[in-house]
Amino acid sequence: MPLCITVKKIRFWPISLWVALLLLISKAFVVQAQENSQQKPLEVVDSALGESLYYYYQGEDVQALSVLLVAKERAELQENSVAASLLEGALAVRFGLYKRAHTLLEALLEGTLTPSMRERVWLQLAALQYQQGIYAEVKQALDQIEEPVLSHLSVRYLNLKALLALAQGQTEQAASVYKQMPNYAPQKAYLHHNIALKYFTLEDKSVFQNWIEISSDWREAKWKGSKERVLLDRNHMHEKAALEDRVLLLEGYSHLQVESYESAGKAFASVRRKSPYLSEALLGQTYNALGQKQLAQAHRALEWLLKLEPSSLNAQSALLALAKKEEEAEQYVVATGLYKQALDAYELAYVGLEKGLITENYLPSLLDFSYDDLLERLNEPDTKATEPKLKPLLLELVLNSQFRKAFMKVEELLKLKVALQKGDNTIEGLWSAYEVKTKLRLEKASDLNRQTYSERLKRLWHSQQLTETNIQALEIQFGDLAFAEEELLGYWQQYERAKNSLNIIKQSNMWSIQELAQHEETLRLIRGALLWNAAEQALDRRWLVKKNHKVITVALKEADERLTRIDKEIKNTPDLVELKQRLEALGLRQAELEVQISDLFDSAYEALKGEVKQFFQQKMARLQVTKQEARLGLARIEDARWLRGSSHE
Amino acid sequence: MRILCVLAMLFLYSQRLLAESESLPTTGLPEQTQALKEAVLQLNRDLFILEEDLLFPPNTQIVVFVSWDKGVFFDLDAVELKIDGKTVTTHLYTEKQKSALKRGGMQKLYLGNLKAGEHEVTALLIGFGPNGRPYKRAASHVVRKTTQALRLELKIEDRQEQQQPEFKILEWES
Repeated sequence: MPLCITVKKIRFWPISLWVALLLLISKAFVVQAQENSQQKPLEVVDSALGESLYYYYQGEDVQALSVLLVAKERAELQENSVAASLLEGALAVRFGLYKRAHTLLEALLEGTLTPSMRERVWLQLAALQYQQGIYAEVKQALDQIEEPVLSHLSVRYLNLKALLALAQGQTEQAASVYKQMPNYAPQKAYLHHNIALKYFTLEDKSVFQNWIEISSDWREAKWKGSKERVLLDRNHMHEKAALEDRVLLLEGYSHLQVESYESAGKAFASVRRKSPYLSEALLGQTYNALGQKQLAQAHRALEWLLKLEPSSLNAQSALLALAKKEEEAEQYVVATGLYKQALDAYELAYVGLEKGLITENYLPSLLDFSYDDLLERLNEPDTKATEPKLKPLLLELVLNSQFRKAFMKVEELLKLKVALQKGDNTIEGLWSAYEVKTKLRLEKASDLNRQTYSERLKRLWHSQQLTETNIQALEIQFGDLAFAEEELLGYWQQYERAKNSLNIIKQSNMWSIQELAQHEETLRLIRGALLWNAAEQALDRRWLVKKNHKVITVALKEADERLTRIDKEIKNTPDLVELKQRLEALGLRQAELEVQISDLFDSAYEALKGEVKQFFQQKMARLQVTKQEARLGLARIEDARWLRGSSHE
Repeated sequence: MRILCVLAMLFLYSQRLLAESESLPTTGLPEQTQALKEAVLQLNRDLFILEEDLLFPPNTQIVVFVSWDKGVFFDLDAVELKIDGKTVTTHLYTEKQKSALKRGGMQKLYLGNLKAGEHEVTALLIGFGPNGRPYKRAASHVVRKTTQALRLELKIEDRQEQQQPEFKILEWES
């Protein structure tokens, strides 16, 4: 984020003294003097400000902030105090020290400022509020800025305005602001991708394709000798390559969206191996392979991803995608009628049982869904002689993991069949049929919620890649997640309260058992969805914690090196007792900090691990329930067969 | 009907709970991380001060800054700093550093110690001059070191009239 200051040093006092005298005369004169001074570049008199700017422009935030803090401590920022405060505020925003940034910027606004300086402060405040996701206040802050005087200020202003429009879902408005931005602005490239991405997430395919084409033109033509290329080459070499990878990623996802798998595969494969987006490309490759139902390829991409970033969100997303795909595959097969085969298999199994071709030991194997176990049993001497046709069919069903789903469907259909065959018009009979429908409907709704949530996470993930620095994006996401956490907590409370309410209703005998059962089922599903969300969030936070840890560790490492240097010097000058004591105190503080960081992150990791563990435990519990249901269903099939048999008779 | 009524009640109740939960203050990891970052900064600040007090006390301290205005007629590549004919530091610039200088940043090129008395400070600047030709110039300045910290600025400017760069060493008032 450039701060518009150029150096023109003056070492003589008279001009400043005259200005000071004028300041004393009247406030009107002050404003006038400031208006005039606005026309010329800001004069940097305090070297610390210049030195800090040197680090600031290179993105070395800790160093830049440290220089300013030292100068403040030594009262060396007498002449440029306002500019220094603004710079400190900007650095605090970038370093994620929101409280400090807010205090500094608010204090500046309370003082007397030149109009241009005031606009800079408002702009910085808007940037801070954007990072915190307080969009209404961002708009208010931007409204305070009328017409930025300097070009790079106006670029930042436009960029923020467009980002705000994007965040508020006003994509068309963001696109129109984009057009106002000058081509030389590096932010324009980022904005381009943010808007393209927005169209992508909105599934507005035609507009998105258009944006991607513009993007490709920009990549192909503008980076081959234009003014932009010179700028990018000189100042943004790393960004250029990274942006190219982003374009490839977007292209890949764009092709994926229209199921153009070959092109998507090419785009993902073209992302550089050293690219910061490699993990996203691998995720894309996983999705691509899944789209083509090439599970082996998906597994290969996933394995690479897991090696690269074992605990990253991308790896976890790929894992989830694979798991979901397997589930989808099951559902697909069930829906296309394979459940009939399962039913046939069962019919055959019963025939086998009745005819004594299969021993009863055989059935539990099916219910445990264990291929190994089944194989073992099939190879036992007493099952060697089973019906030759039956064995491969059952094996195939177990191998394809269709059995469980198919069986549940069969159970549901049989329930209906039973009710119909019995001509049962009793409440219980109708309820039985109704329950099946309700359950299916609720499951569908729950899946939909999951998908929506997952999309939201994906959008967050993408948006963080395209903001000006990773730290900023990190903090945005952090803020969002903190809010999401609160939201989740709200839902948990809601669930608990609802459960209590249900118990009260239960005791009051207002409802029938069936009605109560229905609501309990609803609550069970809500709880399942919440656990799913908790696990996804936990995985996401783990990534954030890791990033923050890195930032602090780097700063501490620098401090440690400084300490070692001083320590070495002190050993050679033993009379500096006081300084040595200070050094020891600082060393202790550093150690304390390390312990604090370590504790904080350890506990965070533990908490996250706990949440994920809890999620999987719940999943396991659900599986156990499913198994029990399957056993019950088995009994019901027998009943159904008996009923059918008796009705034929 | 009864089901609908109770569902509506549950919905309204949940909305109230949700509104209550939204008003809760945000605490947790982000705040703790901010506090830690603040602490690290304080530590760094104290170490900076300690390092300078100890290794470069004002009575012997000399600091040389580099500033660069515009840069139309000169493209800075490297600088070599000599004090009394002895090279004390050299620096090769990256694109990022040059950009930071042009945008108003000042580089602390050298921080060291110097005895009281007269000294000659020489800066050798290497780069590309007008029309992209290799360019090498030196700027010298004789300084008197007192018990006050000595601050110098190596200033690179464009001289419009002669279409040439200009290099100056300026002495700052302490």
